[in-house]
Amino acid sequence: MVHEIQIQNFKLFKDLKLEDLGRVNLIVGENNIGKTALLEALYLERAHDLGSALVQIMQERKESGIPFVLDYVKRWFHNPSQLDIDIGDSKLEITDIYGGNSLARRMPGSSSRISLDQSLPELTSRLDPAAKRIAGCLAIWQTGLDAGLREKYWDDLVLRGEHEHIVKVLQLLDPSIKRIGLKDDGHTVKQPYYLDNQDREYPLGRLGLGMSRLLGLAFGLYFCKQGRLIVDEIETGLHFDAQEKVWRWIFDTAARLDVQLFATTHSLDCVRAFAEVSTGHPEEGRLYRLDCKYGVLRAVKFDEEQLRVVHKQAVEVR
Amino acid sequence: MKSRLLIEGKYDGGIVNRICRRFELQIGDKFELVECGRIGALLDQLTVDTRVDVVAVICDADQDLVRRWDEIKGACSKGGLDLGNTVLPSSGLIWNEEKQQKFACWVMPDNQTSGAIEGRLAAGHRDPLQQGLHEQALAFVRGVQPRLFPNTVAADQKAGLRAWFAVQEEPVWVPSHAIAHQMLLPQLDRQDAFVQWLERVYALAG
Repeated sequence: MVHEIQIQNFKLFKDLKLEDLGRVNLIVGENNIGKTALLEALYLERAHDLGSALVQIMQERKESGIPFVLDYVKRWFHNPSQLDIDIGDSKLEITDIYGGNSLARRMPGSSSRISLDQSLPELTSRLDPAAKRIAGCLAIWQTGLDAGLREKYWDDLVLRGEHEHIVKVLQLLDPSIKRIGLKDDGHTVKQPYYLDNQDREYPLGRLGLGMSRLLGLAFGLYFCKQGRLIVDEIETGLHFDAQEKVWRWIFDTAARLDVQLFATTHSLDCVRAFAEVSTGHPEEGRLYRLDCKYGVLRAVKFDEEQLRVVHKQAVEVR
Repeated sequence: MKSRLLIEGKYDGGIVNRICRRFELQIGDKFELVECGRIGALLDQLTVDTRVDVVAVICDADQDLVRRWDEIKGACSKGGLDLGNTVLPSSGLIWNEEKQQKFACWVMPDNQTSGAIEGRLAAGHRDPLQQGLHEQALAFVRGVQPRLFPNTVAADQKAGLRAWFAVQEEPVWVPSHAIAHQMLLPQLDRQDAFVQWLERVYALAG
């Protein structure tokens, strides 16, 4: 678990520091202030495979039409004349190897490099599927959990009996769910199905976006043990009545599995539920607001004492 | 520009509104008025760094003005606004510094003495009969008050005002109604320091 992180020269962030991080960190802020960029930075710092991380980020940003990945990565630099980015323990830089452009990531104990002189489809096709691993850091973007990863790791989850815990989590939203599994129903990857308490089988998707989000969160927490889970727009699909229960489960599970969570939201209900639950978990929950007050992009931290005020007096902090 | 006026008392927003209306300050158009209900809740709100550009505060000094001002500065500091060793001026504080949150503060009754908003409201009777009634009500309150509530200037002022309201031919229950009936602040004019502070606060919100 990291307690502070500094990001330099990445996108909107000339030099952004988040201090006194908690186990469960929620980030708010207006549109285009850099919330998702902050999550991208946190992911690029730790993702097991730099190439897969880059592909995911480009796909989420709908950048598949760009001729060369280089053109996209060049936009990352806050100062275009300085082609390196510092994120926590990692340094990302564009280097020229034998006349070709590469993105290199150096971090303690390891380094990786990918060629940038290719299109996104080329980069995607050349990725080694075996390299697509969670390995202590997983990101769930707005489009949800990567279905390929879910399929790849599902059996591990069943082997360890943790799918039982996931059923209990899904029961927060629908108590009639009795069992869950993945099933080949003609999609390119297996899809989640559930049995209800009368042993009727249904695709989980019929229960809506909130259930899919919850499955992704549960899966993410169980596969990021002692690692980092990143979730963009965490409240997606969750009714405000459910958010307090979900946060309570997230706080408990993240502590039990030693996972550090970073999530964003736009929802006032989500912030209020987070504030209420975090008051019962001293030192665990932190709320940050990215804002550009007085011309400086900054991360304003709200500790548990301030979150208590946010909750009790319904103070608007987004 | 987002602006918020934090008022300590549960019914004190009506007082401020009445005074503003008399001087054609449409305070509600520029400020979100928040009646915090108690000083602790008001101070708590100051500890939270919001996206509000202008924060104005009206609260009571109660028994210790210096302590109250220190509490306000401490809460602001936690909320990201460092007022340093700023002394609270008798004309009320207007903090308008570059690249900082704009902040205004008035500590009742006059930024200089102990007491409460009721102390300011009761000043300047026009009718000698009403003045006499108010003095008798105050004397009554001072006589019974040690047995009923803490012996402080602010408590005197609050209870005295309400006792005086109660002995009217048609009793009123909240100070804002008393202002409307000209029982309170009958001679308040633009030269009054609180009115001038309100005008500066109104201008601060742009």
